[in-house]
Amino acid sequence: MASRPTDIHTQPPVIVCVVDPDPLVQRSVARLLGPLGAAVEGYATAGELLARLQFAVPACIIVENRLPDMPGIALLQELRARGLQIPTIMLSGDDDVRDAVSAMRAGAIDFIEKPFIDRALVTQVAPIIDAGGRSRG
Amino acid sequence: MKEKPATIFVVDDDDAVRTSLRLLLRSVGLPVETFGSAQAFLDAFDAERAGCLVLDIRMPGMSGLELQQRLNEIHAIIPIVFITGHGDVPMAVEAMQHGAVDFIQKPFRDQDLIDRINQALEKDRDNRAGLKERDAIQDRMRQLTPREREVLEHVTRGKANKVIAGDLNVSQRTVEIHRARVMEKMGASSLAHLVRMVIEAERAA
Repeated sequence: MASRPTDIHTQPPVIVCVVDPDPLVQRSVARLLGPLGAAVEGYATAGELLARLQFAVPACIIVENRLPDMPGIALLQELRARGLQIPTIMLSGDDDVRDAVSAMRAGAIDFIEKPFIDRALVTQVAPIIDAGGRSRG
Repeated sequence: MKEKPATIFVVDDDDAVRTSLRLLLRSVGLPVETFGSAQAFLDAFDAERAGCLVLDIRMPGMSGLELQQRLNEIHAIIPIVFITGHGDVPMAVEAMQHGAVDFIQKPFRDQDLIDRINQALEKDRDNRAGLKERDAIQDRMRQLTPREREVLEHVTRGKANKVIAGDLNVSQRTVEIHRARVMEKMGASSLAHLVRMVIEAERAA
């Protein structure tokens, strides 16, 4: 069975999934959170994320509100319906209080407006990455 | 006991908004009181009064968010409907993280606001009914003797009378008598009901 990790470098990485059809956003999130110890996986659609979730449980999911296959809020609701209690953060380029409120009601821990997402993302995700690393230690 | 009807407390620094909301809410028969600042509302605040708060998120002096924080600090349960404008998403998110019930973005339709207010009033009624129920259960629990309390604790942990008798070093018959008294004093119709009441009472503590 699994061997007990003795060295921090042999531990499986903490996975953070970012779902955004814009590859630039995926890359910039990877650049931002990678150095903090996360293995950032980028997906363009809700469907790709849902497929991935059958094999992995990320520590955190970052979702753009406008996805090609379903609204980001619907994805949040779907995650909840499946009983997945993964901290989720929504990104949006639209300045819409209604979207923000819906996202928070659907269980998001934060709703961050593009394009200036870096600081808020680090504030929310860094502690999650830390906790994820510790719980596996 | 005579209670004042549920009141809509409107807090907005804009005179025109206060006036129009006062007229709107009166026109649909909702009692309304308006305040020009968060501080004025806080000074007049009475936790016993039922109702809801319609609060402008952006105000000079104490902002709507700060007022929400103050109310949270004193464990006020009054539901808040925030009025927001464009560009207020970060503030709305913060208010949600701190338990706001709803938001309405300017400019809004009158009916939208009234719907949200009615939902907030319903929530306030539920909250107050819950608190009342909790108080009643705690009152009943205070009327138990120390021994009955002990039996209650054991019973609600799912222990059988025989086990409780052993733990308390009394006869099983004594436990049965205490248990019957506990059920009677608590007004419990079943063990499940008793357990629910104890959980409810402890949630408040």
